[in-house]
Amino acid sequence: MIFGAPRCEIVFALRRALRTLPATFLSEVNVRSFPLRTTLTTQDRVVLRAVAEAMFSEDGEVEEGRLDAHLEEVDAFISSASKPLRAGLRFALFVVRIAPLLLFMRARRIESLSVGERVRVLSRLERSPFAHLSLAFIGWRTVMTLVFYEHPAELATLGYASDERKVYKRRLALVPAPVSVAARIVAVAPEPAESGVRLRDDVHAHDSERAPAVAAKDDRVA
Amino acid sequence: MTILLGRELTSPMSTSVDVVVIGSGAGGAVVARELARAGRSVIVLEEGGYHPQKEYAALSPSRALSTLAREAGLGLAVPLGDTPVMSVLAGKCVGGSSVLTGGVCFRIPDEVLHDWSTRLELDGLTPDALAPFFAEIERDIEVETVPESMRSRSTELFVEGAAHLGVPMKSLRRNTSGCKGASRCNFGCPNGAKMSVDVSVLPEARKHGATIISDALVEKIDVERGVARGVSGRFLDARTGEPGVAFEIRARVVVVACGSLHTPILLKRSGLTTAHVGRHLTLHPAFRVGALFDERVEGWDGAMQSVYSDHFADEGLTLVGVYTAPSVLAAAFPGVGRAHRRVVKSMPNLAFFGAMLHDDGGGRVMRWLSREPLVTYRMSARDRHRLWKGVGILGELAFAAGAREVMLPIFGADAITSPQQLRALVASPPSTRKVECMSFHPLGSAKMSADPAYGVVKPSGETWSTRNVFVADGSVLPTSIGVNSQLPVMAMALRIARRIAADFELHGRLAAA
Repeated sequence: MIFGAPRCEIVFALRRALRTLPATFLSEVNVRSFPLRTTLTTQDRVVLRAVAEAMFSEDGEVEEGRLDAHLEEVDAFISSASKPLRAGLRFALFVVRIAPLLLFMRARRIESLSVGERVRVLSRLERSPFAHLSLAFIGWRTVMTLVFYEHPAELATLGYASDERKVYKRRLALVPAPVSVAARIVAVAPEPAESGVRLRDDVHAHDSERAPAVAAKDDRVA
Repeated sequence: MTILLGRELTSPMSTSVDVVVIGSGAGGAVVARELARAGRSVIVLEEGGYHPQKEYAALSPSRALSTLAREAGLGLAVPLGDTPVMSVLAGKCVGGSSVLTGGVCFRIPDEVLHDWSTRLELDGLTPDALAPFFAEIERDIEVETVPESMRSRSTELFVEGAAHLGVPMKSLRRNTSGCKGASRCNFGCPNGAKMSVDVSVLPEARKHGATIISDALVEKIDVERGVARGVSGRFLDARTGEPGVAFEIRARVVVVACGSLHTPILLKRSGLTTAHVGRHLTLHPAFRVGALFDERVEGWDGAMQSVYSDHFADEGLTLVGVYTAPSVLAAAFPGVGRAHRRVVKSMPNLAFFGAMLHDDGGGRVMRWLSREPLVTYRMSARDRHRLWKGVGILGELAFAAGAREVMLPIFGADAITSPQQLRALVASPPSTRKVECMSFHPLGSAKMSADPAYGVVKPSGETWSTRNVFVADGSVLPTSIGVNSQLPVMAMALRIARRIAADFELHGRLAAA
C-alpha cells in the first residue's frame, strides 16, 4: 500500500497517464478494442521499446513520442489474441531480452546495450541456425513492422499517399458510353477466356447468362 | 431481420427453434439462408463480433486482424519435423473468413471430384452433380472475371515473366462488385466491393427471418440418447471477452459450421468424437517471393489477385499473382535497423509472386489450454519437394521478368541477384523450417466418408455419430482441393442445406421422439 491505495491501482493510474501523453501520435488505437485488455507489462515495454529503436530508429530518425505510441498500438493489436498466444509472445520477448547472453555469452540484457549493439545482436538472432530462437525475434519483428508501417507518415514515404487508385480509373476509361443494352453487354462483359482450374464448357454459358447483371453493376460503379 | 449483440445481453437466454447454425462464415451463412428460405426458424450463433461493412472498411490491416480474425491473425500451425512454421488465418466475426479472403473463386477441380466419387466412393460429388450448386452460389455472390485492366503492375510483371518461360497465365474469378483495386481484400474491402457472406448471403437469411447472434460462444451440443436437443454456451463479456451470461437453444437440427479449426473442437467437447475428428487437416501452404525492379511498380494499385496459372497443377502447384497492404508486406522483409529500412524503402519497386501447394495433409487440430485449438502440421516429403520447386519457379519468373534482386521466403536469407544463385539454392535447399509460409484454407478436419470407419460425416453432411447434427464447412472436404476454398465450401453447404430441408420432417420427428 502506498498512500492508502493498493499498489496495483497506482500502477494502473500511472499507465493510464502515460498512455495519454503520446495521444497526438495515436491513430486508431483510441478506437476501443474488444476485449478491453492489455498484455505488455512495464518491463515488456522497456524491452520492446529497445527493439523498436533498433528496428526503426537506428539513426534517431523516429520521434520519441511516435515510438511510445507504437508500443500502445502493438499492445492493442496483440491483446485480442488468446492467453496462450499472448504468453508465447511474452516468452519470445524474454528470449529477445536475453539474446546477448544466448548468442554472445554476455551477461547483458538487450535494453542495456547501445542501439548499434542491439542491431548486431538482433541480426545475429535473425540468422541463428536454431529456427525456434530466430522465430522469437522474427515473430516480434513481424508484429512491430506490420503496425509501424501503417502510420500515414510512413506510408507517405513509400509513395503510398492515399487510397486513390489509378488502375481503377484505367478500367473506367474502357467502359464505353451506353448505346444499347446489347452493345453494353458485349463491351463490358466479354466471354471470359478462363474462369477456373480445368473449367468446363457449361460455366462459360453460365457467365454469358449473367452478363446483363454485370453490365448493370458496372453502370452503378461508373 | 435481427442481429443481436451477445456482448450486450445481460440476462440468460433460452429459446427453441427449428435449426441452430453454429458459425456465420461461408458454410453457416448459406445453410442459414437456405433453411430460412424453406420456412424454418433459424438462429445463427457466431463467436466473433458483428462489424458492419462500413465499420471494418475503415480499419487499418492490424486493426482489421485484431477485430475480425482469430488470434489477431497471429495463429500458427506448430511444425513437426522438417516443416515450415505456417501462419493460419481464420475469421472470427459475423461473415467469418469470407470477410478476410482475397475473394478468389474456383470450383473444385474435376480430377479432385473424380477422386472423391470413385476412390472415396462419395455419392453425389461428381462434377455434374455439383455444377448446379456452384452455378447458384456464383450468381448469389456475384462471381466475375477480373478484367485485365485491373491488373497491378506487379501482376503484369508476373505475367511477363511467365510468358518468357512459356507458362500460360489465366484471369482469376472473384466475388466482387465494383472493385476499385485497393489491393487489401483480405483485411476487409475498404470499398465494400467484396461480396463476402455478410453482405451477400446473411442479409437474405435475415430477410427470411433468421436471427444472428454475435459474441455467442457455443460450448456444447446437448445430446441425449444419441439425438441432439440443441446447444448451450455463453455470451462473451463486453469488457473481458471471456464467457459470461449463459444461453441455451433447443433445436430440431444442429448445424456445425465453425470452420476446420473449431468444428472438431466442438464435436469433441460434445462427445461426438471418432478417431478421425481433428485429423486429416490440410492447409494449402502458400509462399511468395519479392522481386526488386529498376522501374516503379507500386503494386498496391490494382486488384490484389487477378491471375493464376495451373500449368504446374499436376505437380501440386498453383501460381498466383499477389500483392497486399504495404505494411503487411514489409512485415516479412529481412534485416534489422538500417538494412530493414532500406528494403522497406524499396517497396515501390517491388513486385510479389505467389504459389500455393495442393498438399497431402498432415495437419491435426487438438484441444489444449484455451478456447483456441492447438494446430500441428507435418509436411510430407513430397510437399517439401514441391515447395522448393515452387520457390525455384517463382524465382525464375522474377528474373525472367527483369528483376534485379529476388527475396526468397527464407528467414534471414539475403536477396539473390542471379538465376545461378537461385538454382544452387534450390538444388541443395536449407531446412524447410526456415521457410516462411502462410495458410488461408484449413480444410478436412471432420472429413466426409462413405463409411463411418474412415470419416466423421456422411456424404449428406450428417455426422456418423448423431443423426440430427450436421457439419457444413470446410472441415468436411475429404482431401485437399488445391484451389481457394470459399466457393467450394459454399457449394457444399448449399448441397447439405438442401438435403436438410428435404428431410426436415424426418429430423424433426427424430428430435421430438
